Amino acid sequence: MPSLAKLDEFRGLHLLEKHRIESFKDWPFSAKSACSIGKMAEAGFYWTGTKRENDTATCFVCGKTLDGWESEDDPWKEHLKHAPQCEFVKLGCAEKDMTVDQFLKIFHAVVNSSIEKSVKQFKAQFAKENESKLNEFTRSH
Amino acid sequence: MPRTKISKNSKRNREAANREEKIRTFEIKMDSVLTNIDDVESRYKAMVEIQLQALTTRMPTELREMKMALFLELLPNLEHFADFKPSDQTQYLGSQSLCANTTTGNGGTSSNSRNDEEDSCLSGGAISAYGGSMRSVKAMRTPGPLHSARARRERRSRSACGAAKVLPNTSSAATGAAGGVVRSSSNASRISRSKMRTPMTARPKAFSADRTPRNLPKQRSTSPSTPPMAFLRWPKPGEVALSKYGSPIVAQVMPDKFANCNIPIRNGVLSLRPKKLDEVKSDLVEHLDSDTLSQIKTLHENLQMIMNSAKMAGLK
Repeated sequence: MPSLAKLDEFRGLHLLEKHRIESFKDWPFSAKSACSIGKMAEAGFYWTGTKRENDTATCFVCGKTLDGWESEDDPWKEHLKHAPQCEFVKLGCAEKDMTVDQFLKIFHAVVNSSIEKSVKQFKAQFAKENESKLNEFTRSH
Repeated sequence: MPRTKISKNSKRNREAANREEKIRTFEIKMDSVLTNIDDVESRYKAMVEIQLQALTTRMPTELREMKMALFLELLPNLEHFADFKPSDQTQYLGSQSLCANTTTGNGGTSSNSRNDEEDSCLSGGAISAYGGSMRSVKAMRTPGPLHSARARRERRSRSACGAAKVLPNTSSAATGAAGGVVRSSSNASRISRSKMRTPMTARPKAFSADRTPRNLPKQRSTSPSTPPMAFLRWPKPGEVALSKYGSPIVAQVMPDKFANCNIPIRNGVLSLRPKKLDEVKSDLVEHLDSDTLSQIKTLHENLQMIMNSAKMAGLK
């Protein structure tokens, strides 16, 4: 595997299949099963599980989180079933088979959803903090 | 005499009103911050879009249509777009009417194998390195009448060929050139330049008869010396351009270090400089057809977009 240091910056976005594979700290299924780590990563999933619930994975493009996997589940099929709107599933091809152009489109979608997610998070946090400040104010006055 | 009745709970009322006012201001401020955040969101999205658009426009088609598996292999060797040369290679191959393998990106060695029979002292790798450097130089030159013949045949005499000097380069270039990616070393480019150059096919150069203002040592023209909009024409192929400050012509290589904009019109070029334009002569505008006008409109929008994003970046 060549060094992909140049794209390491996007590890947080789980942009590359390699990044997604490496995100799996724990996974209940073996490499031989239909939803092995490799196949999960190929279908766009990265690990968002915990020690207790280690079979949770999220798509890096649409952000759909799925758990309760079974060894014979096909990650691509499950992805399509639960998130048919996902750009990655619509494209339906593994990273190695997509063109750079297609990859850039996916990248665009990923960055956009990442921006949206951060903004949403920030807004929620901001609203929460302000709510508590307002409550404090109304209490004291 | 009646007087204004001061209600007993006025103080309390005032406090309540004050409080209400404060809460209202707070809510307004919060709303405005939330709207600002939305603005920031759309601004960042627009920035990403612009950047990606710029990237796709600048990227060679071969690279855009390349499979990711191959691209990721090449990536460690790619630093600039210039490091990737297959489009030049396609052009090169096209000029030789060798269209057998064009856009595969790894045709570096095979495309040049034709030269092998002629010059057996070069190994395959050396040829690919040589071909790579030649491509970069050739791509800038318009193929002349002797181009195809020249490309096919090596020089008879090897005295000026310097092929032996290419050889030390071979291993690094050949290994680095997994898919036609050849980093052009100064050595190799010098060799390719030293050959095959006739006065006829050389790039037309612009000479200026009056050199006095331009001849100042290393003076970089940061501001244009020509008016904000000028009517120019392109030199004909092979024409030596001579300007005596009467009618400025467009030099093939823009020596200007400032942003400018050239609009081809029916019988020449409108060249815009970044200086304030007072008036546009009506006869110049008459030469614009609807296609050109719509192109100018797009250009205008693009410039506006650049300005907007620059403004945004400035506001940050």
